[in-house]
Amino acid sequence: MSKKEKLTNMLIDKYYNERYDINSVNKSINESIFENKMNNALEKINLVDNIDFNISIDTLKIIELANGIQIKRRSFKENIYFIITSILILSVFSVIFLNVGIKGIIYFQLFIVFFLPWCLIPLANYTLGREKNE
Amino acid sequence: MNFLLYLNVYIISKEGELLDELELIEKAKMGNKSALNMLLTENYNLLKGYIIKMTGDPTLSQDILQETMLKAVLNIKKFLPNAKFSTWLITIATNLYRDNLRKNKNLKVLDENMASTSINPEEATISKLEYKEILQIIQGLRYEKRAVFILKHFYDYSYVDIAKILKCPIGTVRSRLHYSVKYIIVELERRGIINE
Repeated sequence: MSKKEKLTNMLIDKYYNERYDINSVNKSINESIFENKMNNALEKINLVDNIDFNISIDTLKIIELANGIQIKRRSFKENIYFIITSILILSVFSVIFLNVGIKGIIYFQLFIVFFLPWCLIPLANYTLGREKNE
Repeated sequence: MNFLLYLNVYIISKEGELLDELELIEKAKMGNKSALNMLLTENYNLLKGYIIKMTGDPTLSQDILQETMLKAVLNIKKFLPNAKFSTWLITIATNLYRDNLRKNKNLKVLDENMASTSINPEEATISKLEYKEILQIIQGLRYEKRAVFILKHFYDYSYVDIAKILKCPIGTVRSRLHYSVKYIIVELERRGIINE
């Protein structure tokens, strides 16, 4: 990097209030010319700050849209979990019944008929309560 | 250190009460829609200005602005308050714009319906032409250099913050800014907008 380039870089850092080596910046005529040019150029560039395209976005609509997407994603996830769990449970039972035989199936059905409502009713209550809170 | 700085960021709600940005973020994370809306509304103009300067195209600006906000709402729970919310939005917008550039390497067309704030019609026409030229010059920079220049020049982000947003070393940010400023000076001189 040439000395001139180093100096111009320092002047840019100085303009933007970033750290620079103050001793290295000695105001020669060339530097002053560059500094003036830079000030003029960056002042011109500031005109861009006034540009405004006719864009209008309803932030509430975006929040609603995001909400819809989240609900879809959640239901998709829940479906996947349901399918995986069902497959797992059915596979485990199939293996067990193959080993235990017909008696096992009957005992299992009796167990399910008797105990499942006691588990499902509180679980449904809990889920409904959580949905209401949300 | 940054965290302490952001404790001082307040947003005034419609009711006139002072709301801490962190508080709003926490509320938004809990699913409070009005807090989320307030956060987006407060940062809307800054984000819009940044995207307009980055793209120079109204349709693309609208798309990226919308997508940025949608992504922010969808991922609000992942936001960590070790940076300002506006910085996070700018990071998302920059990433989306980069992805868009990678997808469609199209030509950028500057739109005719850009509005200037000048009142006099003659003045407005002249400045509109100048705006266009200046926007073209900014668009002439590669996107990563453009992002550095816009963030530094218009939003006064520090080299450190820009490095975080663009995920690159501070030295790279510095050299990109130096290059951009020199390029802009040369282009403005070449087009006769400033005197040589």
